[in-house]
Amino acid sequence: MRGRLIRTAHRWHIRGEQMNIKRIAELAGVSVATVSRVVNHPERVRDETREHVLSVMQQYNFTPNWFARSLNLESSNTIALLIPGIETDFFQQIISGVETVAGNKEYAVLFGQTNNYPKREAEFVDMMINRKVDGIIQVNSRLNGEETLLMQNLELPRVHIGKNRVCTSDTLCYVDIEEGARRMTRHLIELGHKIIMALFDEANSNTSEQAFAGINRALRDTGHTIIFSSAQAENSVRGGYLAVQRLIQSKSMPEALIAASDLQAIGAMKAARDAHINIPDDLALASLTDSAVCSVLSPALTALELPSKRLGMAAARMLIDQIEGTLPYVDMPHDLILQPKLKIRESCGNTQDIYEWFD
Amino acid sequence: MAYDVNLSGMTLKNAIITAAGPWAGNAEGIQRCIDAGAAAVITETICLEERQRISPRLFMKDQQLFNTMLYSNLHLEEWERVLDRIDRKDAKIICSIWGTSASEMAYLGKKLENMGADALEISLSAPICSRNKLIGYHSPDTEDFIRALVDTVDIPVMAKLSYESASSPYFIKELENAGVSAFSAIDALKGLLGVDLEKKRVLMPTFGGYTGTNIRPVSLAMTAMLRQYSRLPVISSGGVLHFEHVLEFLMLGATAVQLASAIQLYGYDIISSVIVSMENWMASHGYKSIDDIRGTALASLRPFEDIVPRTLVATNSKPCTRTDCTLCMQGCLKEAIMRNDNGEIIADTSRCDGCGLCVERCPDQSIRLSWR
Repeated sequence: MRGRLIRTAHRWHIRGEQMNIKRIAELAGVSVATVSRVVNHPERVRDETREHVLSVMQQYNFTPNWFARSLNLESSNTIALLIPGIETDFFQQIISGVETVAGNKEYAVLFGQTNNYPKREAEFVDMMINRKVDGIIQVNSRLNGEETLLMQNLELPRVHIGKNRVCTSDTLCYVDIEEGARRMTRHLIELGHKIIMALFDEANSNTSEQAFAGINRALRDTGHTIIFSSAQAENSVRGGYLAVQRLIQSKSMPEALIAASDLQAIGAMKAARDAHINIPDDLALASLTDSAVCSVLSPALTALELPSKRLGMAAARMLIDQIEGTLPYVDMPHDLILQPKLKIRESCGNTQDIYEWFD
Repeated sequence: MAYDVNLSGMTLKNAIITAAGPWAGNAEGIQRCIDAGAAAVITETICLEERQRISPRLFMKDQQLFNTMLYSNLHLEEWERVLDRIDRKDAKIICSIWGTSASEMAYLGKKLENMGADALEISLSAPICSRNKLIGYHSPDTEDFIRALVDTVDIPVMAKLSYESASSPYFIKELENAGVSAFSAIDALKGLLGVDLEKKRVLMPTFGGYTGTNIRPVSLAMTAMLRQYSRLPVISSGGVLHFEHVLEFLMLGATAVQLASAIQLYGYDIISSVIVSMENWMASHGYKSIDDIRGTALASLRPFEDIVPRTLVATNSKPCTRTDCTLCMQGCLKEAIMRNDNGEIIADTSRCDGCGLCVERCPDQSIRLSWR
């Protein structure tokens, strides 16, 4: 029931002439955010502004649903974050971003690690509902089948991080991995590499699919004949190390290797070094994620910088928008897409640019 | 006298706007701009993710100012409190924004509109960082990128242009098609301070934004060019230090003018002094409205091809006896300016081909151009 109240809260404006927060803001000559604060955090608003806005609301007999909600103190000021794992920099940065915005807006974050198991994720959703969270952020959700029904019937604000819309969430945000992988592949082709291989994260088929789509677009757009292959590997230093060892032993080394992550790439570097394979002369190496170590490695690793902290911040904002009803919802984009940056360093044989260069 | 300005439906009480920059990076700075009388204040560029400042970030040599600053170091939630806290009086707040995609721009713009922004300025082609080249300059992606924002918000959207992007009539047309309401031009030029010859190192660690009085002629030209390319309002910026500079831009067709590095170099007081001196000048010349002067100098601007060659030569009515200055002689490629037997400087009209440099350079104005 509580969820239903919240759901309708950000849809007032579609009910024809009915008074809404935007109209109240106009009539009072203040911003929508100010009206929201008068209701949610009256102590943060100057006295005369608060009196004025309240009198306008009274005059037009306007009582937003979330006003009632905040009065009956049902809100827990808690949001849930369900995330596959916490080992990688990408997920850590997402958590940091969510925490930052939640802190700014005075929400606590309940955290659940799903390990990519749909059943575990469904249990978490259930647990979070019982703990009366105000909304849920799911990262790369694996919910399917019966578990999806659970989400469909749940009228709780939620945002999904990741391109797949499996959990039927209205609101998605993700990094455009496909475009990043396309630019990375184009870069490798421009450097003259003809045999390209990608190592994908065996535990993250969704991201792998997007990367594969981007690589394919680059292969299609080029006029050159490129031999492309791919393999699955664990997303770790060990995974990259073993994958390259296997390639060396089977004498099937490509000219250029795209690793799923900087950890994998570091493992690949070590395997190449052990076998006296020079990077970038004998093997070009690039990574689909960037981290602080990439520029310190020798040679510095060409990598895709994913704005993962910003992704977490955006997701938390979009969720709190829904919870507090602070945005006229239909005006807003439901999918927020962030662009990654290709950081061109030394590991693919680029000698043209004087320093780290972005595309 | 009322020297108010209409900018895309907003009434500005005068023609002076403070540009996006660190002087408007928090509530105190914005308040000082408002209190100094600025008609509108443009915030430092706001993004979905805050950015830490580097230090040092301002570099200066021989009155040439360079900065390596790009984005605000405040979270969006902090901006919400800033916009709520300031006493706007009758000033407008324009939020400068940047994002990497159409949806990011649209989301950020809508959030700021709801926080009370009166207008938005897209920091479209900033010279400092490395950005996706597909957006800041002419490209098929630019129109979609900007249209997403324009279609989402209900307030004016202005595009801030670099010299390069403002130079392309095709790009300007594309921005118009995308629905921008006005152009701000120009952003800082991309610049490097110099090289330390002994250490063989650059004097600043990355490309900077080169601003200040030296870029004003470039900006004056772009204002006139934009008036040629587009009917949309132009808000001029680049090296405005005095009220005369404001008047120059207005006479070249600017709707309003932005103060930027002047505030950095001389403090917030320069805002009120420019406004007061400008209004005094307007009143003393009997102008009742900025419309009386706006664009009035454009009629005297002609294309190079239309300038009729005239056979003028340098003459000095009486020989110059100065021995401490030879600027006129140094710059004369035709050796038409020389010392006579008495050591006085004279102009030989038979050698001169009328370039006019000596006339421009003479500190005593003792040379002029006359018909041969």
